[in-house]
Amino acid sequence: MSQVTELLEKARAGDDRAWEQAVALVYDDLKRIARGVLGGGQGTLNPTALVHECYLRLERAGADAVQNRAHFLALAARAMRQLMLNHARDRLAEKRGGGAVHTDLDGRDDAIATEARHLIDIDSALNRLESENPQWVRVVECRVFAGLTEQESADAIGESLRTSQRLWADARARLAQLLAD
Amino acid sequence: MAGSSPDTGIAGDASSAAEPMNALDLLEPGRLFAGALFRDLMAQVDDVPAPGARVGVFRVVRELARGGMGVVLLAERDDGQFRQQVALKWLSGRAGSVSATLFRRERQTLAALRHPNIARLVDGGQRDDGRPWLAMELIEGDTLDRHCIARALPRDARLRLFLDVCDAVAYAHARGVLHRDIKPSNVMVDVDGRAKLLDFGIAALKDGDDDVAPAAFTPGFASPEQRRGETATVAGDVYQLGRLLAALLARDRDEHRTVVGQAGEPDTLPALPDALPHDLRRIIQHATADAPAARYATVTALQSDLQAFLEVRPIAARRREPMYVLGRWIVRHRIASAISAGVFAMIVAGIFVSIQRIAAERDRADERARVAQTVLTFVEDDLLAAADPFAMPGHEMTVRQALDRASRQVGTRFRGAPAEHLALRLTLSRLYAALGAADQAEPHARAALAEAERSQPAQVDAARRQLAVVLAALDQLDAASSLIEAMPPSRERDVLRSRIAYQRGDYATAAEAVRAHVAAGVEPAQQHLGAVQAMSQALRMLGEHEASLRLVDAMLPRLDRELGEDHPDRLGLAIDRAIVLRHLGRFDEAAQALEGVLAARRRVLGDIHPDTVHVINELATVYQEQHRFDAAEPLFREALSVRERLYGERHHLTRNSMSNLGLLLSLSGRFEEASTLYERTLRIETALIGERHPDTLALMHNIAGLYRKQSRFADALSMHARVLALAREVLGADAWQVGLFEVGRAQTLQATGRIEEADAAYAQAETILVAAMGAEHPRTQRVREMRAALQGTQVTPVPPKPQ
Repeated sequence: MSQVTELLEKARAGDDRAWEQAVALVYDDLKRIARGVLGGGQGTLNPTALVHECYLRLERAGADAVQNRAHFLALAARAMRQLMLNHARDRLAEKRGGGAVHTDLDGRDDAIATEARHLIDIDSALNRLESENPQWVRVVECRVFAGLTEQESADAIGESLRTSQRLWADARARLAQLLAD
Repeated sequence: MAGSSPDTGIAGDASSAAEPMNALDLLEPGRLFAGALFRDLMAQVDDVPAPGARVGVFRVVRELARGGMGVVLLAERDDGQFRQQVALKWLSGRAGSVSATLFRRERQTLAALRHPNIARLVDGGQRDDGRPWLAMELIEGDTLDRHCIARALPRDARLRLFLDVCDAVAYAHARGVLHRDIKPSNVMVDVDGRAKLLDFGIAALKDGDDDVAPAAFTPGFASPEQRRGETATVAGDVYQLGRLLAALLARDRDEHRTVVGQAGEPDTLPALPDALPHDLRRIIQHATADAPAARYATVTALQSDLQAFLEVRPIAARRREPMYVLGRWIVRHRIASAISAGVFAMIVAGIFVSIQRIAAERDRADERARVAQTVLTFVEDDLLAAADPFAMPGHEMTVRQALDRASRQVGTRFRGAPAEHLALRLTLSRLYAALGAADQAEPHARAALAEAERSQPAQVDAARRQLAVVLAALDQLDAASSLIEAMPPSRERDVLRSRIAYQRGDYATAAEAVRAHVAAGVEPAQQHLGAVQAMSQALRMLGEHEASLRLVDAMLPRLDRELGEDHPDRLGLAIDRAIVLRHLGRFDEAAQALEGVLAARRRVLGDIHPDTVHVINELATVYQEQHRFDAAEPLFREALSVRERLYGERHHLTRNSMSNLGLLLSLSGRFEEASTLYERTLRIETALIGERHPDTLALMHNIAGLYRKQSRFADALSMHARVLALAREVLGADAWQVGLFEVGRAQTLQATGRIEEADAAYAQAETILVAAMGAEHPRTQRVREMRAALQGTQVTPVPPKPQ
C-alpha cells in the first residue's frame, strides 16, 4: 500500500506515469474489495462504499498512509472507470463469439451488451474530452464511476463546489454533443 | 456529431423505461450501478476461500498476502496422509481464461522443476470456471531485499544469494521455462539462509483479465519490451535479474525506494544505488539494456561476470569492457540501432569465449588489470568520446567507423606500452572478425602476434590462435595451418585443425584430426562437443552420413541430460542432425527436427535473433527440397526481413537471404519477382565488393540463368559474356568457376537454338573442368551428359522458344 502513497506523491508533483501506476495498483484492490463485499452477503453493492473501503484500507496501512483523501477518491474513480470498461469489452468480445455460449433467454444479456456498447462510446468520448479539458473528465469519473456526491467530487478534483457543478454541467453538454451521432 | 447543438444533445431514439437505450442515460449518477452490466461484473468476481474451506486436499488456515496475481493463503494438507503446510496461490483472472490443457501442461512443466533454489510446486487444480489454484512449497523467512537490508548483509553475501537465484533461473531456462516476473517479493530467504525463487512461470498462467489496465506487469521490474506487450524471452528474465540485483544492493530503505521506483520510465536508465563499484554498475547496466539483444545473451553469461567480480578476478570482467563500452555506446546513441543490436549480440557471443579462456590465466592479475584499464580508457576517451554525436552533431558513427578510427590510432598511441598494445590489437581483431570483416581483422592479429613475439612470450599462442582463425576465414588455409602446427597440442588446437581441413575440402584429414578426442570422450559432454561436431560434419561430407548421424545421436541424449533440451549447444547439435538427415534425403524427419528447434529458439531467444534466423533458413531449405514452396517462402521472407533489420541490407548474411529467396522464387516459376530481387542484390554487391568479386560473379551467373528462364535471351547472353570476361581476368581462364559459367552460356545458346555454338561452349567447359577437377568429378560428368543430350537433340532441333 505504501507504494500507492509514493506514486500518489509523485503524481501530485505532476508525474503522469506515477498516476497511471497508482491506478493500476488500486484497480486490483477494488476488485478484491468488491469480492469481499459481495461474499459478505450484504445484498446490493454500494460502489461508494467500495471506494471508501478502499481508502480505509490505505489509511490502515499506517505511518506512510495516504495524506490526501480527496486525491485518492479521484484515483479510485479512475480505477472504477477502467474496471467497468474492461468488463464491458470482455462482454462484447464474448458476444462476438470469442467466449462461452449464452443461453440466457430473459433478455438480461441484451441489456448487458447494450450497456457495454454505451459505456465504450462514453469512454471514447471521455478520451476526446481529455484533450479539451481534463477537469471535465475527472468530474465525470467521480460522479458517474465512483458515485461520489457533488461535494465529494469537488474535493476530489480540487475545485470549489460551484466550479465543480459548472464543470459537471459543461462536461455533460459536451458529452451529449459527442455522443449524438 | 457536426451540426448537433449542445442543448438538444439527446439522440432521437425513444428510450424505454426499463433499459437505457441511450448512452447519455448511463451518465446519470447512480444509473450505472443499478444496471445489468455492473451486476454482471459483481456476480463474476468470486470470493476467496475463507479459513476452514477446503481446496483440493488442503484446508485453508489464513490469508498470507495479496498481490497482482491473486491471493496467497496458508493451507495445510487435510487428507489424513501426512502433515504438510503449503502456500496456496489463488490466481485471479477472467473465468475460463486458462484452458484445462494449457493448465495441465504448465503444471507438469512446473512440477518438473526440481532445484534447491526454486520453491517446488506441490499440487494444483482448477475451479469449475477454469481459474487455477496452485499449492507451492511454503517458505518461511523473509523476502530477499528485506533480508539484505534488515541484516545489513555485506555485499558479497548478497551477491552469493543472487548467484543462487541466477542458478535457478538458468536451470529453468535450460528446460524451456521462463519466469517472467522476477522481483524481490518473489525471492524468499528461508530460515537456513537459502534463496528460494517463487512463482516460476506462473505469470504465463495469468492471462487476459488485466490486459487493458497496466497492472499486468510489476512497475520497476518489467522490461521495456514487456511494457510494450511483446512476448516474453530469456532477455526479459535477464532484465529482471538485473533489476533484482540493483534492488538488493540497496543499503537502506530510502535507497531501495529510489532503485525500485524509477524504473518505470522508458527513456531513462533505471536508477542504481550510490557508491556501487564500477564493475557492478556495468554488470547491472548491461543486464538491463533497453534493447534485448544488447543484454547478456544468457543468464550464465551474467553469472560468469558476477562470479569473476566476486573472486576478485579483474581480468575477466574488465577484459570484456572495451567491447562492452562500445555496446553501451551503441545503445546510448542509437547508431543505426537495429543493426548495432544484432552486431552487438554477435560480439557478446565472441567475447564470452575469450572470457572463459582468460579466466584460466589468473597469474599476474595486477598487471593484466592495469593493461585492461588502459585499453578501456583508450576506447572510452579517445574513441568513443570523439565519436559522440554531441561532440560532432549530425555525424553519427557506425560501429565500423568507430573501429576504423581506433585502428588508425592504436599504432602510435601505445608505442612503449607493449602489454596494452597487444590487448587492444587482439580486441580489435576479434571485433572485426565478429563483424564479418576478416580482412580488417588480419592486420591487427598480425600486429598482436608480432608484439607478443617481441615482448609477451606468454601471449604468443593466444595471438597465433586469433590469427589462424582470421586467416581461415580469409581462405588463407596454408598460412593458418602453419600457425596451428606451431602451437602445443590441445583439443582446441585439433578442433581448429579439423575446421581448416574441412574448409580445404580435405574431409578425411578433418575427421582424423579429432578422431582421438572423439574416441576418448570427455565428461562433461559440453567440452566434448566441439570435437564431436567437427567429426560429424567431416563424416557428413565424406558421404558417411549414417556414421555422422550415429555420432550425433549418441551425443544428443547426453546433452539433453546435462544441459536440458533448450540449451543453445544442444539445439546447435540438433541442427547438425537435421542437416545430416537432409543429406540422407530424409526430408520429413529433417523438417520435423528443425521445426522443433525453431519453436524452442523462438520461445527462448525470440524471433529477432541471429540464431533463430539461422534455423529459419535451414528449415526453409528443407521445405524447398520437399518442393513445399508455399511453406518455404514465408520463412525465407522472414529470414530476409529479420536480417535486414539486424545487420542492414549490405551484410553478407542479408545478401545470402536475398539469394535464397531469389532462388526459391525462380524455382517456383515467379521469374518477375525473382529478377527484381536478384537485381537489387546485384546492385548492393557491386557497390559493396565490386563486380570483380567471385560472389558477385556467381550472382551474375544466376541472373543470366533467370533471364534464360524468362526467355530474355539477349539479356542473358550479354550477362554471360560479362561474367565470363570478368572471371577470366580475375580468376584465370582455366578456373573451375569459368567452366561453370561457360556451361550457363551453353544452356542459353541451346535454348535459343544456336546448337553449334552451344556444343562448342559445352566442349570448352568440359576441358576446363577436366583440368581443374578431374574427369570423374560429378560436375564434369554432368557437363558431359548435358553435351550428349544436346547432341541427341541435334536431329530434332529444339523449338525456338522453349517453355
